[in-house]
Amino acid sequence: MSSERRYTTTHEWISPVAQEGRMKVGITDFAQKEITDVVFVELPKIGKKVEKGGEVAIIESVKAAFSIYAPLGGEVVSVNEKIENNPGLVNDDPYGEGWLFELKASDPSQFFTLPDEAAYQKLIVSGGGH
Amino acid sequence: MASFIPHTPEETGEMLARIGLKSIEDLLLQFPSTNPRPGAPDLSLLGEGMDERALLRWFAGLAEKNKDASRAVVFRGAGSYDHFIPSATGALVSRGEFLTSYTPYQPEASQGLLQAIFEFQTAISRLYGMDLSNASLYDGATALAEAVLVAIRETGRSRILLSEGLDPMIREVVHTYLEGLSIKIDLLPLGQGGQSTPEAFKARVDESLACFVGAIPTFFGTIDDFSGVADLLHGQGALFILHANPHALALLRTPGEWGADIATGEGQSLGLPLSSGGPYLGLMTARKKYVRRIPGRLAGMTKDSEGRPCFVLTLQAREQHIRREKANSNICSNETLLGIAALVNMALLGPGGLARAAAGSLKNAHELEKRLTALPGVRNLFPDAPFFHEFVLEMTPPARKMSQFLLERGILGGLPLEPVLGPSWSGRSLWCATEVRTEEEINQAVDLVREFLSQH
Amino acid sequence: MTQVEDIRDGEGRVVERPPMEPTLWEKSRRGTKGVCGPGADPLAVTKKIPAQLLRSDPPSLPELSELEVVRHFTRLSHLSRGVDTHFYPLGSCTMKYNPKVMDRIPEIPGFKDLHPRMDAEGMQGLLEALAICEESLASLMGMDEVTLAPAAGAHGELSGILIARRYFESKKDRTRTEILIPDSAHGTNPASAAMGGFSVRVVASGPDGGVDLDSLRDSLSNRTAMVMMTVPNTLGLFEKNLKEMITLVRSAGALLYMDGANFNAFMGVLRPGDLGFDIVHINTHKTLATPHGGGGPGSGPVGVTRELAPFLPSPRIVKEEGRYRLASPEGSIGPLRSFVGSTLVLLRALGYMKMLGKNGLRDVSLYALLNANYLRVLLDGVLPRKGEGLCAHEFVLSAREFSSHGLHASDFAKEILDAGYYAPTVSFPLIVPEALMVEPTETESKETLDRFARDFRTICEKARRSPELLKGAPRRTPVSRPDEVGAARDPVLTDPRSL
Repeated sequence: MSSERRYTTTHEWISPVAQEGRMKVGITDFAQKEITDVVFVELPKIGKKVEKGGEVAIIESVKAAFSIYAPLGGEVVSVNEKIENNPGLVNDDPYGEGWLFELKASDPSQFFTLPDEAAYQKLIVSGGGH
Repeated sequence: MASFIPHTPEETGEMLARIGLKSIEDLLLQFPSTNPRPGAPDLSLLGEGMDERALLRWFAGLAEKNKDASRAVVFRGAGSYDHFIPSATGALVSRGEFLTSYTPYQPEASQGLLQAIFEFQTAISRLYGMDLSNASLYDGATALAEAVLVAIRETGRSRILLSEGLDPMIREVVHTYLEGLSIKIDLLPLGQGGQSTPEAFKARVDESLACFVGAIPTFFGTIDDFSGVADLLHGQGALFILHANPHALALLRTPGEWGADIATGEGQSLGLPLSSGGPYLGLMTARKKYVRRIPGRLAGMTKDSEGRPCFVLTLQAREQHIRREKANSNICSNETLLGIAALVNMALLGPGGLARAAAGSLKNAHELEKRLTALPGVRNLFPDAPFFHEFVLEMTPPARKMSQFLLERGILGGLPLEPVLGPSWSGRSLWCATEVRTEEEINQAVDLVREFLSQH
Repeated sequence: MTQVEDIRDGEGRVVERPPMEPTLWEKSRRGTKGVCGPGADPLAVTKKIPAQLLRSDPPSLPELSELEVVRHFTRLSHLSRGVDTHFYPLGSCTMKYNPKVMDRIPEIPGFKDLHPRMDAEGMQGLLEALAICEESLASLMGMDEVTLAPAAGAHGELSGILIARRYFESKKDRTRTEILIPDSAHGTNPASAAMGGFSVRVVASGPDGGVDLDSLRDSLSNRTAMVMMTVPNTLGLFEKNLKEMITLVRSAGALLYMDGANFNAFMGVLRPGDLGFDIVHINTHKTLATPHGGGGPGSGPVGVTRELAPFLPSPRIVKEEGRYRLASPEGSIGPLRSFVGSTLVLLRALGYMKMLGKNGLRDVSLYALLNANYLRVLLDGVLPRKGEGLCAHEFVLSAREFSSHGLHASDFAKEILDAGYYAPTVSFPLIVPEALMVEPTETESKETLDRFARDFRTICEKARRSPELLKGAPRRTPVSRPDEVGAARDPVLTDPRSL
């Protein structure tokens, strides 16, 4: 499950990293465009346990706040400290430098139940999700 | 009677015709019909209206039944203080552009207001020795309640510790605010010396605590010593909140210097009239770390599209109009105009003038204390504690009787503490003298207390 | 790139933006004497206080002469707009004329310099005035009792919510933990519910913008403590099914709260109590013409039914044997603030009620309806409106069709500023995309409304013809389009020159 990315209907992406069970989470390019300029990201505390679909972070633009939901259940094992001082990274590089946090999934196999790229693209086109 | 409606009958007719209605009453067709609820007071109670002159005379008739500062010299504080207010303050604050504007959501049409808020935030931050201030909250009590809510959210803990040195009324407001949230509220007693003690802290500060709140000065006028408190609290992961009188902070050690995380205050003493209790001015300051946690509006400095420095409301995503049930607070309307009044006052007096005023309060209160405690049977409840401009006087006759005696003779004397703190406080009253009290007034008060004591 | 067009006066000269004013700290000169008030030499008295209890340095506050301060704030006032200077069609805020006579009431000796901890015998006039204010508001709302304590509308909501909590506790009903709120509500409603310890359940609007009856029916349960409704709703529409809704809520055993932010639409015409509401707040700084002061002070008196009166916040004003006093009844939720209320605001509100009287207050609402409907008709077809038929005191237009040109409601607002008005409310209510919410109020003349409609029409034509021009607005204001992203990413909240 190398650098594959899966998605949620609420516009988060998740992608496994080298270590077993650890996965990076961010928001999609579509989402960052909808949010417009990110001014602040409220990141979770390391060690926070989350359920799939539970609110785990908040992204703020000037005129709105958006909840970020956990794509899978697990524990937050690291956060992207760079975006605390430079939230614009979420806009500039949503799949790279603009990642939000790392999750240690309690059941990594659930990853494959999430929509893949093609399914997510279809979702955007049909205007679904949040 | 006047309704301040500018239309001529012809214009009203033209407007109705344009809408396609015959009568103005037709506009009411959208409303359902109802029957009066039995028992509720009838609309006719509102009367037939009156003109300006009659209105002002009616209010004057009520006003003269009140013993305001022009009819009774104020030696009472307890959260509301009689201070000097320069004449220019009222003249500037009553300008229509400030008085009749709304929250500056359109920055281009509100630069003056935004700059004034920004300057207010700056002045309050410097006075409190803190990194930042918001644009105001309702009053000191609600500001403190909101600060406690910040600590509860920040720590995720459900126990708070309030100093006995906080005004009991303010402690009650905190209780009301926490009513629905299952929070345990503990009290940190003041020692015999009118200050909190390290032992009292040690017994009550642990990892379950969200925050401790202390007062500068205390309700009883004493100046508490918070040495070591910040480290103790931070060591347990709790927040340190101080509620401080801004008038006193021109001289006293600031919340920032004590290491507080959040500091609140009642801004009335920065040059608002006693106002029969309101509107007052809630102050909230904080360390930078908590900038996204604090409630209320914030004005920030930025640049416009052509590079000019300018001001905007910022960090609005914390607020109710955006984050709704997840907002930091429900506050919307605040006390901006009173904040501008406080700012104008601070600018008129300057740092030297504020320090002189505070020193005048301190001097007069100490003089009054010396004179009153020299009377037989009268003592200061905390004789060894340093105090600012208030002190508790203890004597045998009931303080309520003395207050009545003095009021009949043109003096608003010390606040009887029995109604506030219970029967054991019957002979105790809380006295205050601010910078505006004269030697003659102090003499008069002392003479009258002597006269009262000779009769009781 | 935005296209910049110069604004020119009649003789072809380019109109410059008015200059900004330096900050107090920029103007400060060390050693300048300001106003000299009573006081004492700090050095002479601070020896009475142990050194570790004193501040180490004086606060960094500006030093200016009195005239410099007067000019500074006078210039700042010129850089802001109020009802006194501009038409302010800011929806949901009721920016009507604030009669000048009311400014004189607090100046009558007896109120402004009255100590709030005055003995009861020394404040009989104040308490009498406030008791009359309570009674007048109760008659206007059709409620049994009123508290004057809340400092603003949102504070009134919080008190209503805490009253509801106490009420169900008194009935030992512990299942009611939810408050239902329509999706069109003001943000304060859900925020207040959360502060009061309730969870919020959102009720969806129907296609007409009104509360959807089926959605309400599905949401109601034995967990529902209260339903909060804004009347008329934030689209400026009176709910068609209001009576059915009230019946539904009643039969579910929940309380009914009315957010009276829009009471200017039916004051003296219809009473919330008669409609069946249990708790009602109004905003004196909207309906009763007390000035907003750039964001406050406000005041949010709350009326309740007899059944809920024991829970009202303390202190209560009581009258015994012809004398007034303040009391803290046993069942009260406790004090919500310092002292009895924002009295100087309340006295102005009382003055307004007294001056206008029963019929004058009714006229206010009639003409608020007239002005809103007249303006609505004048703007018919300019931008699509949410809702049909008569509106109440305000109406909501949508600039959504311009989104594809990259234009938002806020761009229209900026162009309206250039036309010499304050702007309508934008981006609210949330259920209307690109909303522009217009509330003219009763105190504006037909001429002002005609002129505004003409200018608004021109702006919309301009938006259709050359949308990029709106992106360059405003051009006549001291500044244009502040960088809000930069301000929020790296907040500068105090003047760096003060450090």
